[in-house]
Amino acid sequence: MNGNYGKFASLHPLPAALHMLFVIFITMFSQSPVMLAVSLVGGAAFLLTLDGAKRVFSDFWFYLSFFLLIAITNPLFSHDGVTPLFFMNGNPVTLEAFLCGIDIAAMILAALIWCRCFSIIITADKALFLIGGTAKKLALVLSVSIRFIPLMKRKWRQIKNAQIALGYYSEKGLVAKLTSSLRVFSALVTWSLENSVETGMTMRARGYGAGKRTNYALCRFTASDGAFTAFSLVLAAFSVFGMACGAFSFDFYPRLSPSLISSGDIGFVFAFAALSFAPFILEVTEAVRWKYLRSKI
Amino acid sequence: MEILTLKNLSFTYPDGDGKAIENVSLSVREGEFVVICGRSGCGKTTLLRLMKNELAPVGKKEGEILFRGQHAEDIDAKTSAGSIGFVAQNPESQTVTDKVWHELAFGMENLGYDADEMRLRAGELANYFGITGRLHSDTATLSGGQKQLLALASAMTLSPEILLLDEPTSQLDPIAASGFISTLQRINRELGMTVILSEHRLEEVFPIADRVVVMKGGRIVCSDTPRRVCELLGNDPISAGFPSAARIFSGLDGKGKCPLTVREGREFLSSFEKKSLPIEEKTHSPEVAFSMKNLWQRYERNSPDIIKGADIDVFKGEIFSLLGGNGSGKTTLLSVIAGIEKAYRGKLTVLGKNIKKYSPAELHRGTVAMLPQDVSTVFIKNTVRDDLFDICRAVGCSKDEAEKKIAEICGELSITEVLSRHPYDLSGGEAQRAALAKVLLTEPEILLLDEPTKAVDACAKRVLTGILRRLAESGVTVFAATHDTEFAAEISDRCAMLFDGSVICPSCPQVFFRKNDFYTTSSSRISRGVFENTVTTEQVVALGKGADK
Repeated sequence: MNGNYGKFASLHPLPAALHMLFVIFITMFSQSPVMLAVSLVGGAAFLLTLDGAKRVFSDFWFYLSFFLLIAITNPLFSHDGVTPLFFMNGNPVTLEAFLCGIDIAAMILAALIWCRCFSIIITADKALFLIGGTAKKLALVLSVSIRFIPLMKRKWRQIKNAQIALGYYSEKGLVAKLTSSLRVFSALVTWSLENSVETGMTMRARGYGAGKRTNYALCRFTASDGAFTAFSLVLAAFSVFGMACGAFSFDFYPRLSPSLISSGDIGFVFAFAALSFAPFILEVTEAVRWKYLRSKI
Repeated sequence: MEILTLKNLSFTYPDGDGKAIENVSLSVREGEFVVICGRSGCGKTTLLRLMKNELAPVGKKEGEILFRGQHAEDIDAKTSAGSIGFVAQNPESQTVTDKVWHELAFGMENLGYDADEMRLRAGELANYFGITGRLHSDTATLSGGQKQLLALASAMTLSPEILLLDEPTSQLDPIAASGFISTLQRINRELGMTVILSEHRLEEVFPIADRVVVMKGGRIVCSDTPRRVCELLGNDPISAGFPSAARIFSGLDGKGKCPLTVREGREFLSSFEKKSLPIEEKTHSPEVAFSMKNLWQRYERNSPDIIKGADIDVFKGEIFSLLGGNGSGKTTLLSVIAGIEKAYRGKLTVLGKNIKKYSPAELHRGTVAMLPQDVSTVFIKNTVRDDLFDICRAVGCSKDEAEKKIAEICGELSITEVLSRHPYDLSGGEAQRAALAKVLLTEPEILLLDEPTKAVDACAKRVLTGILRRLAESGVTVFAATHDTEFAAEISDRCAMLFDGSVICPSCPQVFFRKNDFYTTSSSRISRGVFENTVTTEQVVALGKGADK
């Protein structure tokens, strides 16, 4: 479906979506700098393989300014912590609050990057396919509405042009322009009602409502999809278990926790790292295999 | 074996005066290709919709419809959806979903096909219709012709036993239309599919039809082989839509087998004495209506040029046709002249004044007006009358003045009866004339027409020709962009082709069409070699009458 992407994108949308939702979920509920760093780097590496360096770096300033904005905002408003760096308007700006700001910013940025990956991998039709498994009616309604948007846009242009040629848009001034647009809009509404009556008719003609509906399987669930589902389920469960045990707890206030992670909990970090880097590794091995195959030709 | 039988069928709409269908009896054999024709409003659509239970209009029905010996009302929805395929007129409104694959699968999903069956069926049909490469495209990116083919393909996924098609090509350009018709022929020949098709573009369907049913006022007036129909109704007004060969044949009172195709037409004419029609170049007024000098246009800075150095002078009171294929930029050029789009290079002079110096009000009130391709976009009110009054008010007429003007123009365009109707309820021809009335109320000196013969039947086309001629005589310049070679040959003072962004070879129709092999009229192809310089059926008939065998 995503012709230009690799192995991860060609997975069945269910394991792919599950995997990314797990990572986003764990990221959003962890405060541990180690976990966030793993998630952020894993996500960024994955995004690089999807979007390409050029695209990611052109968005780099957006990500950076977003990061800085949140990192700076926190110490300005939160004055907890025991190590004041300097005073502003009589309030202390503390080291703890500053580091906590960076942590929150990293968490939001990591979640954002994973969401971006999600939107690239789970395209509209894959999402509809996923919804269709449980909510068939909703999926169909969405599919019909998505088709309608470009249609409405084109019709809007056509009606507007026809009205311009009749001299309706010639008056200057905001009110006149607004009235003109309102006329076009009312014509558009009439047209779309008319159109949907006809669409309803063809739907009936093609057996809509005649019996139990099935859904066209856009993708097939293969053995490797199953394996990947199991892989992400196990690792995610293990990470969540670690989280529940407090392995990733890290406090900023009133003073920073003494160590980033205890040596006994390092196994959980590896589990989460495997989860976060899996998409990147899948994509990269595919690319490497291609190169290798091509060099043989 | 008979697959579909209508017995003494009559139908009355609840609010209608008189019967929409009156005492119709028809039986269709399996594998037959039946064409239903007649003027718009003759009951073609009602008849076709009655044949499929779910689409049957509400009203009083008498008589019987039998599908394989079973009453149509007794067939359950599932069987009906599966065994009777239906393709409607409008490609936009009969596309349901957003993706091509989903559109193909939609019917099968409704009938509960299982996953493997669906894949196989969709794959098979995508191959047959040549749309495998577009399976994952958005339906919105397809052209009208592609959408109609997709509608046909999705009807075919349910392996119907009979296909009903209600003017499926009326919204398509001639090239897409003939592509559609030949696909339909292929389905009929290769799969033995029974086809019932209502059409007004008869040139291509007559040669492939097994039977033609002609309707008038809800009755069947004739039901026979295409050849017999042409012989029987050769002098009826309905014959305006018949193939050129048949019209020439009946115009010349031919004896024997009526020709239907260009080849048969040439055989018929071959016994005639060779003759030549003098070329009539119409003298045009010396005044220029508008002129383009090296005009260039593109939509965005980085998009390709659509118009590349167009050069042309169009004179006052002239009817000028601009021909060209799909996407050749005809609509774009019209939009530039109408002041909707702007050219980025070159000069466009309208009535001796640069178009840039016009204010929008000046340009669109009394100078240039445009009838768009989709005439429904012209209307914004709930009745035709309201729409016409609205434009009069916008132009600045008093109420009495407006009433007088509207009465006058409605008489001229014969739309007085439809004034109180909703614009969307009109037939193709009526809607076009109503839209034309609205456009003409701005009293333009230059009238631009975009594909004026699309969605219009042969009779309405003839009426339009008359209207445009009268307009031109009264001094209005008519500039039409069209695909329709027959129409251009008949109406134009001059024709030109838009190719690769520039206007090529402006000349009178006789000169323009006589040498072309493909981009020409059927009459020209039929008469070539016997008669010289004849491009319309009228010209062939006129010359043929004088020629002894």
